[in-house]
Amino acid sequence: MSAMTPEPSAGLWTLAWRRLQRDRVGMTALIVVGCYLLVVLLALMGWVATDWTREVGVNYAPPVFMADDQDETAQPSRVEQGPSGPIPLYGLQDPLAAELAAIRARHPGAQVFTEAPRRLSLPLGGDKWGHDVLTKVIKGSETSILVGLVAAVLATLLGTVMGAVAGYFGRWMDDALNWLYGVFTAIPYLLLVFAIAAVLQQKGVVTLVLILGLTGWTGVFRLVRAEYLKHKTREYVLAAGAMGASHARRMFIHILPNTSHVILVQLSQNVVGFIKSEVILSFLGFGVPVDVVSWGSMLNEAQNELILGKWWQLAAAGVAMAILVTAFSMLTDALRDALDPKLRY
Amino acid sequence: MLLSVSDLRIDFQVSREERFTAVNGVSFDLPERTTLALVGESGSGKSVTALSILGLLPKSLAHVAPGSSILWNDQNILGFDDTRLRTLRGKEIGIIFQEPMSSLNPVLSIGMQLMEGLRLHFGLSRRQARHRALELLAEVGIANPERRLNDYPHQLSGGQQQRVMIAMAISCQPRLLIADEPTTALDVTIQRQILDLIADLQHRHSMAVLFITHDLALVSEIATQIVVMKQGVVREAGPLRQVFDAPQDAYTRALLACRPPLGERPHRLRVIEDFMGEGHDGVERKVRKRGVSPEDEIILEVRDLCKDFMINEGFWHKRPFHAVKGASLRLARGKTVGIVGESGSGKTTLGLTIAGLLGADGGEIIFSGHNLCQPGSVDSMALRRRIQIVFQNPYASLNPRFTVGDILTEPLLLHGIGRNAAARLALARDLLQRVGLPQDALQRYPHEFSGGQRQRIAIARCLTVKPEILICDESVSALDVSVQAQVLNLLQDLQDEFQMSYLFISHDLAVVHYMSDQVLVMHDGAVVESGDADGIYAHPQHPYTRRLLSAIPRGV
Amino acid sequence: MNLAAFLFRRLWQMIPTMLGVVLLVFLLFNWVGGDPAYVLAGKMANPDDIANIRHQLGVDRPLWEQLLIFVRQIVTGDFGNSWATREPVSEIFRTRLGPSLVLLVPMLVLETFVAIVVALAVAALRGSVLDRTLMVTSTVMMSISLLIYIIVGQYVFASLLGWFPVKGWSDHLWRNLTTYAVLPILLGLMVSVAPSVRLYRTFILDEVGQDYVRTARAKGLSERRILLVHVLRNAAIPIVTNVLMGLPALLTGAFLLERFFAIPGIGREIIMAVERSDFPIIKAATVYVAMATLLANLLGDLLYRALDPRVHFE
Repeated sequence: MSAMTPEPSAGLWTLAWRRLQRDRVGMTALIVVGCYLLVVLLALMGWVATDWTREVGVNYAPPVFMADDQDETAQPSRVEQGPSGPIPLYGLQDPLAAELAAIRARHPGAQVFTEAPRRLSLPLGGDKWGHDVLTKVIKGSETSILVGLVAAVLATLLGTVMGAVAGYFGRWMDDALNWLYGVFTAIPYLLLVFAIAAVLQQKGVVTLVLILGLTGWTGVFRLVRAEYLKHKTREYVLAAGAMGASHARRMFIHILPNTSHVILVQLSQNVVGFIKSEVILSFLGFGVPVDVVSWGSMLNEAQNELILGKWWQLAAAGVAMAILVTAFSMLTDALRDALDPKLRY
Repeated sequence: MLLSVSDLRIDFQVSREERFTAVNGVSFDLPERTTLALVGESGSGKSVTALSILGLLPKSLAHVAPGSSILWNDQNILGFDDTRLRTLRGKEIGIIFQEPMSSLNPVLSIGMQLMEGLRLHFGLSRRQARHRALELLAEVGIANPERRLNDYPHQLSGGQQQRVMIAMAISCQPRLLIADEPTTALDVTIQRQILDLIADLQHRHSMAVLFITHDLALVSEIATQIVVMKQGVVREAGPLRQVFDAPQDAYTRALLACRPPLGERPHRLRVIEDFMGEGHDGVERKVRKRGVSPEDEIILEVRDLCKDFMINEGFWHKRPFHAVKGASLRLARGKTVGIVGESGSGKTTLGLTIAGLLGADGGEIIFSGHNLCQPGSVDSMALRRRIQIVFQNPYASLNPRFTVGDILTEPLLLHGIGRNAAARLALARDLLQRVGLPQDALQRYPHEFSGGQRQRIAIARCLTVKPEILICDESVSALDVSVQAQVLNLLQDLQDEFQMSYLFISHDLAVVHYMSDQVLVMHDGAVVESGDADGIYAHPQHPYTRRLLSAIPRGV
Repeated sequence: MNLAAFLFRRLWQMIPTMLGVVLLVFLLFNWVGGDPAYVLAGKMANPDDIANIRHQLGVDRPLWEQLLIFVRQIVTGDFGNSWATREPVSEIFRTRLGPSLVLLVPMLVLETFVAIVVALAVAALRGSVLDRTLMVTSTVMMSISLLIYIIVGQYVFASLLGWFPVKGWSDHLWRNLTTYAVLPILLGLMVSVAPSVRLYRTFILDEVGQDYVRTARAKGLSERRILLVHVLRNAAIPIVTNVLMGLPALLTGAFLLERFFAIPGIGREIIMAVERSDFPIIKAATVYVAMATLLANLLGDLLYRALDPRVHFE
């Protein structure tokens, strides 16, 4: 078939992509978002930021560009000032020495408590325990972005299916789903999330994704429902019905692709919204568990560090988040323009 | 000379790189107290020309080329500053638009909108302005002006809204009234009243009128001078009789010929190509016979069909609105029943109900011996497939995300026609050819086609399932006259070839007359008159039919 | 159709939604959440203690009976005592409402006013460099977390510069408004004005594209009058609706502000309640805030109908 056409003509997606390519701001935003996603992917594969819990620097190690000139490697005397330095035993015998020896015998390769020399400064500084802020930001980005993405996909999926059913079939299904929508929007979003977080005692990334995803479908639902209401009486859908196309076919083969621009923009908006929500929740301690780092948990620590004048963790997490969210918002705007159905004809 | 446009050229910035020339070197003169009609199809640049006179084009998009001039009393309007332009607008030149509903501010009262201009240009006090507004409303024929003054636009009918727009436009005694398609959105009977009103006011206030329209028949009733435009260029200009009686330009000749005439019924409508070609004036004087004989096989019979819509009213109540009240018709094989009526007459509802897209609330639709209204009637879906429909809006009737190939093969796939994809594509290709579209259209998307081409695609889609009845719901109403003629010819050819029966729904009385063997006149949901097409047009019985027919502009 | 009948009908229509909210909260706390007795008794409780607490809370009764208790609590407004402080829940809400309003009301008024003025200005200058700069600035401002504004703002303006108190509250309305609430309100505005400006700008630009604006120009009106009379009067309809719809979002911003600036309002109370698993407070807050949201929506609907002559109280 394709052999017969020398040049297949451009569909709406191709046209939208071309329009996006002409939008310089949009493309820049796309590249920035792409870079973040790449970092997340690398972190997921375990290729970068493998262990943020390692205490590689001195406590509150300043960023490199603020370090007192020359020497980069730590002097042992400075290391001992830290709380996690070797504990002086004041001549007492170590009560666990025997066990330690036994463990060493069983695992000859393992190194126990060998303190690597701590660095005086780190690329983006260090936190209270001397964790590398750069590693933490990468790991935190991974958590925050993944939570935002997965929750947004979940919420968009839910909202789309419910909106499609409500808008297309109308009648009691619409009434029922609209009622549910009314209930979920009557409670301010964050309050609902707080309430669920309070009830679910176990914290975890999966719990967080579920909370955000199961409560965040309302915006998508409203818009998709409106689109379906509009499209189901459009002539092309009526004509498909007159041809004998089934309801499912009309809903998903005919209408769904024509609402995809709304869904895509909503998805993109949800990612931003959920990242912001995750940050607030984790900041308040209702989000990720303590052994997971996210932008929110970093801000929480950084809040107290700022009082001591140690601003770098706050800046790192804040800037990382602001850049991504700005890029994502601009990408959303560019997508909205590029996909605008008014430009099609 | 009151207004003198010369060498006007306007470019629109389409995108960052692209420019589109909407008006290209247009010149014409408009003397005092005359009516000049600017005629053209969509994209001819007629409205852009009109808007540019008042400087109403968006400055960021529209560029008037240097060298253009629009002289108003020998002063170039294009050189006016904002202050001078504002006294020109409203005070010296008034304008009315196509859509009166959207042209009035929906949240301000009629009175406020009328008085605004009076107070601005004449410095009247509130009392004086109110007094003058009442006079104006009475002058444009609004009953009960005292009450109407406090009404909002949505409380008025379309005709009344246009009267208010006219009152606003003439409120400051302008010397020129620009009327930009003022009756296109209105029903034919209302159109007649508005035209009469404009003519009357022009006479009384000795204004000049610049009348912009696509409808040549209208022009002959109102204008003394005429300018025919196509794609931004003036094709022909001159006094009305001269242009109408002896058109010099091929395009003008084509425009005059391609509207279906009311008096006779040529076998085929003439189209632009007949004229634009080399000199030959494809004269075809064969006349088409219309009418139904008793031997014709009746394939569809509708008896007392009713359709209600529920309107929420008051506290808990729902009130039924009777959209179709007991309509009956008989459609013979290979024949056409035309349904005419104004907006809100229920003609489209009747068509959608027969097509099975709306459920009936009473009556019978008997097709092939089955009553389609009976729930669960034998194979109702299979039967319904044999009744297809072509809609009005060519932009909404094709799925924008499907290629034309997808659009045409989908029904084949759904009904298991054709052995495999290749066979179905071959069938689709044949159909494309049948409706006069090139082969390579299969891989293209709807947005790459013009309105007329899209209607051809929609017709081809119907043909895939070999319908016996085709319902044409205002199928040519959105098209330019020259394209309209081509699509009507296509429909006619297909009927001759496949012996399909048509239900032809339209507000356009001339088109319905051309297409139909029998005609049904609808008014407020009821069929007021039905019968042989020629009979009804020649001797209308019902007063409404008479009113309708007398309102048709019979130009030419 | 008069106003009273309209109000009655809308209030009547609220009942199913409110029942839904009650059901949702009930299921969440009495079914999904598991046994609250363990939460209340702490980790080291013995079985007797737990049984005792279960009886006190009524969670040993069948679910439908618990639901009845819950509904009675909502209707009477008596949610018992806080699990953490033993203070009656109704008393907590009564005393915390004032400070929340002192924060919320000025924020709402200022935000609406500033956003409309800025939106009108940028809409008048649409397409200009100023318009584009402001739009980009607002996108960036929206992208910075509220937390950053609060943390940095509190540190810089209160701790470092000492222009405002770091935190605190007094018993005097005027003193609160002029001293304690100023910084929180300003920080709240930083976050909420930008999205509103963008939204109102699109509302206004939508109207600017309408046919009636062309008519107004054709009448010879000045651009200023067109914008301030014709356009604004139309754009006011979605704007007003949006101000009231946006109230819940403002509320969540206020939660955080109250917590950071130690303002004894409802938001801080709710966050503390979540930290302490103080269920009665969370339950009551959710239900009553939902009720307030529905009423705010109704108010928005009323204003919308008052502003738009095309719709009636039906």
